[in-house]
Amino acid sequence: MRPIWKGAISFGLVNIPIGLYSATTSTEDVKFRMLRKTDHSPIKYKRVAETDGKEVAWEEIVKGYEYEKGTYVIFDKDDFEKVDPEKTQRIDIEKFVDLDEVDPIYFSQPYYIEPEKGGDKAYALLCHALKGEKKMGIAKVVIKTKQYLAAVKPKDDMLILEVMHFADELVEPEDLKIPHHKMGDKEMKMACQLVDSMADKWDPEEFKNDYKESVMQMVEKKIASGGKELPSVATKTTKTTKTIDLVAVLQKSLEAAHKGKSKKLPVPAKTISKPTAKSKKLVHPKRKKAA
Amino acid sequence: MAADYFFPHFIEPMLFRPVHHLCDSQDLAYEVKLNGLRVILTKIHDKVTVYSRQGLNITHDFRDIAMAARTIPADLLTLDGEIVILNPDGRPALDQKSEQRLGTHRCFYAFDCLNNDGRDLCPQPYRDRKQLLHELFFQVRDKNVMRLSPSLSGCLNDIERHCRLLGFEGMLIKKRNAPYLPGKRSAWMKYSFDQHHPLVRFTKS
Repeated sequence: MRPIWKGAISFGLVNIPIGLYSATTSTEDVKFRMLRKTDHSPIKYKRVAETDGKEVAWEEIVKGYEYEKGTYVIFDKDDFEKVDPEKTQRIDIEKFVDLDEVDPIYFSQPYYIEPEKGGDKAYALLCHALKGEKKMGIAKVVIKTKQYLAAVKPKDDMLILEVMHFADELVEPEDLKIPHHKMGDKEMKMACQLVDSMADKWDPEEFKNDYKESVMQMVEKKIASGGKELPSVATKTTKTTKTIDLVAVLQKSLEAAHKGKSKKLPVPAKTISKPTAKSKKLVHPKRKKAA
Repeated sequence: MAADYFFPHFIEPMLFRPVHHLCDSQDLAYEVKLNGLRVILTKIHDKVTVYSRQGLNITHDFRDIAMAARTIPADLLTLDGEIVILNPDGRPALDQKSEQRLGTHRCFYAFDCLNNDGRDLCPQPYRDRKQLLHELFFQVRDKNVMRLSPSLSGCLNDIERHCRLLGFEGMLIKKRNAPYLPGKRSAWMKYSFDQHHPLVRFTKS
């Protein structure tokens, strides 16, 4: 693995040389190229002027800000350089806040942090101090030409950097119609029972990107068949996925509701079927096969 | 061949009569309405056959179901049930007729047992057939494909509210002491929660 960025974490008088590594792989779907149907020639894009359709070379391109419809103020490379953030190669921690203080909605992208030469001890110290204090560092960092807000957090024996959204990047959900009803106790209890009966341990391995897998399977099959049409059965997904048995969940939650009730009111369970003498006979019909 | 041995390959499924209200009675059992494809499934040792309502052999379309049904511990067996396409959240998919889509899961919900090892169970009361079904399915390991639709316990009020809350579209009502009457539309009823378009509902089965 190669670092995507090298620099230092700094706060107070401390300076820890580190490298940043992407903690996620590309989440993009399978890549397809666009081709002309008749001869499979790849399609290429050209930048053309809207007015005359002529191609425009890169050197001929400037950036304009449309402040009124059809009217622009023009900026070139030099203008942007003036406002570019200073490339400090530093993750400047400005303050430490409680780990659970920040709403997870602010976190957008995780990176691993590895100490560079000479940074081992300070790295380990910072990591364990953060863990002990249950804190994380809030920092500003410039990567390439963009400034980011980020959190430096402990994860096991490692430090990670989570790029965060600035507050103004988050959209206010003020236009959404969110209900604020008062719930009846009975309904709440029932809803909670349902949630409980579907409760399980979190296992990230359980969830896979089915679409991506199926597309890749189709691609591999098509390559193997020399690009010929696939028989229709091959594209059908016959793979069985594990799906919750909602009928069983329903039964469980009904039983739970029933139990809760019978504690208060000892009414006999009238609708629960009890094995009768007859059904017991039926239960073990010991293979009476034709001799 | 023993005198009481009897194993028809296909039994015409018993039909549901639509009703517009639920009635509460100790003589009635309630099940979830799943809206899948009604099938009769027969098992002769390792050979499983899936029949449509009309008695057509449709096993080739449901190999996965047939394979899973082989794990039911019975040499001769006739089951009544539905093949249901489920959304990833476990609810029956709205469109059951079209081809199975990506991410959905197909399974068989058994709701009745009509013959077991050559014993004709149709004359037996529903609750006894259900009891036997529970015994059979207790030993089925792959509950992901082979599932059982139980008689729901609790009071009718609770059952209806839970069904609605979980997003099921209706309930089935069966008389506990009624025999299985192949092809008849009498002792079994279906109730849809959405009763606004009764004409549309009637055309469904």
